[in-house]
Amino acid sequence: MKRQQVSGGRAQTPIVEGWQLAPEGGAIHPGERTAVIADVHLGYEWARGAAGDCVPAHSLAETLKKLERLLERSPIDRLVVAGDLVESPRLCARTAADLARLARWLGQRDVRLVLIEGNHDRSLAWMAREKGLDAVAAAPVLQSHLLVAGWTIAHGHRLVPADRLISGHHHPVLRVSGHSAPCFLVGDGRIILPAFSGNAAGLDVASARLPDGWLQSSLRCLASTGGDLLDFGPLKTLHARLG
Amino acid sequence: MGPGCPITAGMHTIDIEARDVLGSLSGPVGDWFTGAFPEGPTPAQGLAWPPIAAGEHLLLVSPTGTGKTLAGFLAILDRLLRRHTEGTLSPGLRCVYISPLRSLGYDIERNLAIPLAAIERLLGCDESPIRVGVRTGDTSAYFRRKLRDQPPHILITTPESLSLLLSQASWGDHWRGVEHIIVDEVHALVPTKRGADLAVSLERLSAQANRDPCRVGLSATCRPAEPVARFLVGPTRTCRVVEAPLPRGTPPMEIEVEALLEAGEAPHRGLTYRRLIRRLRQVMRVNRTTVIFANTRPFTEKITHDLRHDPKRRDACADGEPQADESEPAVAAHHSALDASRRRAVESLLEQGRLKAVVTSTSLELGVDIGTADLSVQVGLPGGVARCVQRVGRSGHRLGAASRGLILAATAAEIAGAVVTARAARAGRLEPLRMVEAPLDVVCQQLLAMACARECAVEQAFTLLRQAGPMAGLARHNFDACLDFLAGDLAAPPGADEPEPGAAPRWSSPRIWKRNGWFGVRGRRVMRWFWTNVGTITSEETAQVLVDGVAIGTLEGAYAERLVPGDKFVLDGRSLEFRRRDGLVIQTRAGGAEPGLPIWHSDRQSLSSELAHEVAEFRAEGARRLTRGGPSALRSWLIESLDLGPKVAAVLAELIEAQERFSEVPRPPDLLVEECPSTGEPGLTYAFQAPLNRAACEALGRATAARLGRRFGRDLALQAADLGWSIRLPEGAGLVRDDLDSLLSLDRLEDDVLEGLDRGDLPAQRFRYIAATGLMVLRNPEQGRRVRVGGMNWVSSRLYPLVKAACPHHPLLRETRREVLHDLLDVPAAVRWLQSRPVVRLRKLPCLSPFAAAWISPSADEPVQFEAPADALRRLHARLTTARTGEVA
Repeated sequence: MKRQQVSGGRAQTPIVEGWQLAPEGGAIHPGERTAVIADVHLGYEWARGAAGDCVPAHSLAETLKKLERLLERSPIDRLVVAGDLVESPRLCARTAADLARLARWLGQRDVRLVLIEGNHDRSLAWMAREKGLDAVAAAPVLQSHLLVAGWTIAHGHRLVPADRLISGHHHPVLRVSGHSAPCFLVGDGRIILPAFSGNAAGLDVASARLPDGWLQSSLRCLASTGGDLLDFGPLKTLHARLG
Repeated sequence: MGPGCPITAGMHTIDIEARDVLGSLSGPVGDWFTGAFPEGPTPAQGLAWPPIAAGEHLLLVSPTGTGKTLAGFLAILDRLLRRHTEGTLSPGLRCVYISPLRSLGYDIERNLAIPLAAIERLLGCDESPIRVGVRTGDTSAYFRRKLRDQPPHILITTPESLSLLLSQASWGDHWRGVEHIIVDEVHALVPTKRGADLAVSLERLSAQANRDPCRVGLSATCRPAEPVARFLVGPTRTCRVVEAPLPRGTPPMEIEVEALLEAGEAPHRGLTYRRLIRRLRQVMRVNRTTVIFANTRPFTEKITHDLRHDPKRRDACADGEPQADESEPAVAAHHSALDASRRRAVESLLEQGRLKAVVTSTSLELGVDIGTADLSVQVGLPGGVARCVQRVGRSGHRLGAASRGLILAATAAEIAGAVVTARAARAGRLEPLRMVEAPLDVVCQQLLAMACARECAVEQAFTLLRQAGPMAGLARHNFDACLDFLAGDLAAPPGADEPEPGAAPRWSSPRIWKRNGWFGVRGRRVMRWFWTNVGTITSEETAQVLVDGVAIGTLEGAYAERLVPGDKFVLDGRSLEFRRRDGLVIQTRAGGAEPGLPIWHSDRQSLSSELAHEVAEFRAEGARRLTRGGPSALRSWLIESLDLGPKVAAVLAELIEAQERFSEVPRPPDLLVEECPSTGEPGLTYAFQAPLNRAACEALGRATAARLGRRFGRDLALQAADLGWSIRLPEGAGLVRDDLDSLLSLDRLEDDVLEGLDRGDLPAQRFRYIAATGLMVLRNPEQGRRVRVGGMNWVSSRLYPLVKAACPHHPLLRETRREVLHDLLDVPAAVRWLQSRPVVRLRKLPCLSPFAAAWISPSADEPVQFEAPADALRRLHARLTTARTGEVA
């Protein structure tokens, strides 16, 4: 794994086979001018509202703020969302409206939006059509996986046979002093992205029960402080080393 | 106490002419009473009937077991019967009886059914002319419809069900004929939000009746009684207070304190627990029925289990034969996490005298007639003198028998607390009761409840709310903020993120609309949300537990989520094994031996201000005796002046001697600060010993933590308890004597308390409950819509900061601050103590002093964060990187 100094004096961001891992929670391929994020869960507050809660609107604002920082790192003209772009699996007009605003924001920056289907995205195609996003220049396309620079990008809720895979779905975090730091898990031809959304409670990679095969693999944990990524070493021994 | 209407109180002579009083009861009722109670009415009954007959608001204060219920009811039954004989009794609700406890309603119904049946025999009717109905959370849909379509004359219900019924349009007209409202166990409602909620519901009910109904409050002993009366009737009404003494010849309350620890022993939970079980068995053998109070639910379960399954006998049946007593155990558990039917089964076994012991956390504190309980045992501290008195009062219900209580204490600190509590209980020195001051989460819930029933005028709603005792001081701007929150109108601070001007709403799912001085509910969907979430009882997210398909109780959600097949735990005194989980339902089967314990949150119990001071004083006095006359003088003083057994005295004496030897016994009002190395971590711990209770120590602990945190810029750990607090500093940080004066200065104390709070977990944790009561976040979300992403801590870790950022003056944030500062912390007491200019002494010790170890046990620290999470992560990373050898790429 190489480390590269990003121009402009910003903190180091590790590079995995051409993919630059950003502390915001995304993977950028400068060669392909593509950024990949996962688990945005846009419209989380409206899903909560449908369940009966009265909570402040926040998911669009937070998403845009984070995307702004992400897009500053490298010139991008394609943003791939590897599943769970929206929270609400049911049709939701407010989420659709937020989706349209997101698409417009990306369109203003000449970024194409590509959508991979996640388990929350049941109604995403309808919401996109409803807001005429097909007609807008930043036309989203909903698909089950995508190949970019030899890497397969999929959500990760279903098994996808691939030598090199970028996925999300699990929301890995590292819990320290009562705070959850989102983290990447990389190794063995895999890059597992942290949740882009701040609302995911997260799977604590140091102590929770992990999916089959993770602990046997050579995955390493890279935790985000918000400003940079810290390499916490192999997942296998993480629990023991943390004491 | 509010301005305006007076409360008339009177101490009445004990010699009551039985005939005079009975004369106020009409023929059949009076006849039945004379037949059932030939000794005549109790003082409570005699004093209550005339004012009720005269139509006054009344607070009846009387110890448990003195016939309060009949005191309330018979006079009302009598009026109704009179009307029936005159032929003027029409169907419809005439009296509403409210009890804070679900099981109590059924008990009362049974209590009423007996005289009713007898009266109808006397009258020669086939069916009782007076109809009684019960409506609680457990009432079936069939009976709910029946009650609505044919309302009884007397309705027995709970505060939650009352609020719910009042919010239903279909019940609208039913309240017109209500003439009496009886609130039972009113002392238990006064200091709680549940009570504040009920007080508002009573105003809503009174507003619907044709004439302001007469309120009758039934209360256990409380001193002074005026706040309780004020709670019952609010600031605008007069109330007569009647204090009834115990019947003549009742022997005084007996309370004894026993130690489970012996002199020379260090506290050891395993050892004291085994002794506890042994002592409980001894006590059960000697008494017919024993009630055992275990303070927390897990402890209740563990004790019940271990009392049922004798380890010695278990070893004998090592081949796994079922225990002989499994079919009908003589010991049963009773607490609110158990299924309703199970609780009722236990209650009826208890009444029939078929149980040797019942173990409970708190539910049996109120109501349910124990009948033959001979002894009340309290394991550990009861958490207050009033509670101690009520718990001991559970025994000796047969009039004329003494109430007997036994407190079993497992540590020296518990012994000291138990001794002063028992002494105060015997002398009748109860803590004064205080209403909660205008809790805004309750205001939000009540406003929504009002909106559900019909459209409301804003001004009228405000006036109505302020007629409730706890809400008398509700400020207009807070009331308006609550309405704005419910309507989704709360303004965001300037400069907050807004993707587009105007278009996007700022809050999801507003509950009400608000226009032109009126407000109303936004549709049936919101009404359903209210109906499934009414109430203020704080409950964790729970999972239902089934054993072989039969529901027996609930488990805390967080614990339930972590279970794996094969895990064992105890519920309802039975050992269970987890099999699988279906959503929020846990399937189990009967497990084998040695279960673990399910975890529930327990109360933050603490001594009152006065009792904490008494403990500090008697520790100091003990030290003085020790210095003057040596160990034997100390022991004999403890035995004589505190009336202690020699074993108990020996344990206390030993602790005082150890503290004098190793450090010093703090003399009130002075402060002793002890520095010692932290256990298990590098750095120093400072124990501050002060003659204050936990609430005041918590306030000072926060302030000092804030000041130290600012100085060192790193995270600290804080532990507050009765009689002191401790702060664990990070490595490399330390204090000298001169630092302590500025650490305890009064200057900006309140601000530092607030900062210490904001940097800890407490406000975020309390916000969870407040958000639920205020109906911002539903405990029971709409069916099938529950959002799973986010987890259990979403409200405290994400929503709390989001609301703070979106609207810093949100009423629920104001309520969080009020609750923490006024209900949980006692800043005024801390200030008063600091103003007395206590002398500060600093000692450096090689380890924690005996007093610090006894009172301020450093177990569950709360982190007070001064370090940014990013820095904490970097520090951890640095530590791991230097520890490894060349593994980093």
